[in-house]
Amino acid sequence: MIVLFHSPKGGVGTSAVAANLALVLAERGVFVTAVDLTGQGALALCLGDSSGVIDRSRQAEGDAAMIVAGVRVMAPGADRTAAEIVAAIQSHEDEDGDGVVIVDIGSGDRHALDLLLPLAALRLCVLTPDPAALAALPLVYRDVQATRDDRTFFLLNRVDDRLRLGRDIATMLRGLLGDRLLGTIRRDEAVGEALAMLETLASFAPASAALADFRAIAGRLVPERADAAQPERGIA
Amino acid sequence: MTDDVSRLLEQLGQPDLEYRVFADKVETPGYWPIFRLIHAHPALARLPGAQRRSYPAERAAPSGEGWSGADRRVGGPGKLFRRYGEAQAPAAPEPEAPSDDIRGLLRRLSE
Ligand SMILES: Nc1ncnc2c1ncn2[C@@H]1O[C@H](COP(=O)(O)OP(=O)(O)OP(=O)(O)O)[C@@H](O)[C@H]1O
Ligand SMILES: [Mg+2]
Repeated sequence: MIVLFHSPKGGVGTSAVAANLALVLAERGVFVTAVDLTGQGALALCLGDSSGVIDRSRQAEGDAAMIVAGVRVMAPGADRTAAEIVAAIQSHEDEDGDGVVIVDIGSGDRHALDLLLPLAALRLCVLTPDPAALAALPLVYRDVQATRDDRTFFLLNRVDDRLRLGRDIATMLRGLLGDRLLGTIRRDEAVGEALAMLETLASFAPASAALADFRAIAGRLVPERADAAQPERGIA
Repeated sequence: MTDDVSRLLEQLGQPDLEYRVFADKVETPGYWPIFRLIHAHPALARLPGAQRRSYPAERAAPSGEGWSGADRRVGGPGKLFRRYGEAQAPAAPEPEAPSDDIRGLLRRLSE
């Protein structure tokens, strides 16, 4: 299945959430392909890969995907046509019937979102409990895609109940979104620290609160498989 | 600071530690003017499956004290946003009946 990650608001953690869900799904034995359409290379970094940052020539390009922490990473170059991107994503989906293709789409990239929505099983919209993200919420439903709306779900990221405004906004969103809210992820310094350490969250901070939240959401997306095998680790 | 906390901090040798009591989870959440803007937005009426429950603090709308800025200037909470809604928003479509719940959807996806 193809899962799109897109938020109308930038900086809410869409890439971090996409990458960490890719990791915890791989941990469950799911065959995961992560496609970075943001052009930032942030997805590979969030997976704990340093090569894209240190040597951009080694960044995953086109179909020549690399494996990072058990997740296959693809970053189609900016020169790719829409049709080529769609074909590449579909080829990854077809190969592995029960695999998951996670696509990170930049917040401003309506074009990629519209292009891929018809192919996707789910679109996960990341929000944070702050007024700017709240104000961007109506944009999700700006152009009603009647046939696709039933696939849009929300994730509330960087939740911190110690802060009054954030707590109030989170409560309001839980009421507003109801079943559409697939899960919440606590604000957790370990998310950034793992990035800085060029490690995955699971290896850097196994007791991380955010990691537990990512695992709970992964469990909702893909039920535990009896034959779950540990994916291979390391960079291929 | 309660006695037990100050004793604990002393035991830890941390008398200077900053300490604050965080609000109880069951406290009534605060209501901010921006919530009305979001609740009134016609686009969100199209959100299928969302419960669009009325928010407890909205039902118990405060009587005007505590409201600030633009809201107070237009004569009360929400007036500004209501006016905005009337002037600019197209008629809100009927909210769709909840099409399915998340479990149903995920079940379909995994089939
Ligand atoms: N749950 C979390 N707790 C703490 N920090 C977080 C959490 N999620 C994300 N972050 C941090 O928030 C920052 C923004 O994350 P990220 O780059 O993933 O956002 P984005 O929405 O993809 O941004 P962009 O719009 O630029 O693509 C990063 O520093 C990331 O480490
Ligand atoms: Mg990003």
